[in-house]
Amino acid sequence: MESRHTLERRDTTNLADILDRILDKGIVIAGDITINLVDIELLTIKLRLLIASADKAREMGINWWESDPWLSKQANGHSDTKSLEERLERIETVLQRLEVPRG
Amino acid sequence: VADGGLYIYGIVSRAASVDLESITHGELAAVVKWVGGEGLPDDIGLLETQLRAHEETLERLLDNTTVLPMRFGTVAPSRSDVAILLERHHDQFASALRRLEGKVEWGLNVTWDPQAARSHIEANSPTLVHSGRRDGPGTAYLRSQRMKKSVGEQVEQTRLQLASTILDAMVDLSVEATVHPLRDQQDGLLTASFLVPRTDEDAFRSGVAHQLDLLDNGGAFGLAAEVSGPWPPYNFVGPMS
Repeated sequence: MESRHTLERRDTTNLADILDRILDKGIVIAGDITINLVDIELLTIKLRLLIASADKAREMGINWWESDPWLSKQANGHSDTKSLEERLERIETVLQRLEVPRG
Repeated sequence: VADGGLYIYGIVSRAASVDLESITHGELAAVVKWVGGEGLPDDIGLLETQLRAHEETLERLLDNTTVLPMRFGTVAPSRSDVAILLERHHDQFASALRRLEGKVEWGLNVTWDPQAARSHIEANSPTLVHSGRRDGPGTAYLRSQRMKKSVGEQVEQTRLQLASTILDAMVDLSVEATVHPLRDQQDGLLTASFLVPRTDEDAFRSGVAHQLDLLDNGGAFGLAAEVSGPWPPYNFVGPMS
């Protein structure tokens, strides 16, 4: 029975809805050291902020997040932090090698 | 968890036929997926992918069996850790599965039109009809302020009355209920989740429509509801220790 008042859906496409539905829900095993709850709190907060502000910002023609490597992978191809870390590691290795003969 | 682990989606009965990787112990099976360091959410894009995978996997399980959803982001270091988890909480999980068997979660979000309600209340409130007497400007101001306050209180009272009437009716059509903070700040009336037996889903859904038709007073309050489901029982598995 469908009334003019009610709308029904099982919509899994909207990320904001998914966040509302599943975050902070479900079984938590307190005191189990064998289980790691991935530290996602900061990420989810940022994601919430992003969702809340994206539509408004877009209306104003602001789209900084699309070029922010932290927030958007597409903007810079692949995970930049990782490649930076790898580069740093390579440079450090090279430096160490250079230092050995001298030391 | 740099080098990965076993992501746990949820717990089902061992007897359930599940076409996903699972680790069993006693009556239970944990539905898992190995995730390498790459698969764990360390940025927004991966987080979104994993959120969707979490929900979709649980919905798939729900279509075939009863499932206890794990908190999003639960990762165990190894298969034996998952088995230990099942062993340690075996009876708790098993009894939760029995309690939830054949039941699903439905979400309800009811909104209204506070402005329409205000007009309705003003129009139907005899105590607020202005007396014919001429007032001085000061008296008129005080009277109008008092009226505003009184109408505001009545609007709030009406909101609570409508919400509790709807909630009571839906509690009768479900086995458990959880009320959430209002999803819509401006026009929210009630946001809640209900645990509904599969066999009563139709009654629940038509119950919402029936309540709203009954209470809306010919559209005076602008009541509207969004019913969503069936969902895995996210809101009906409490913390376990």
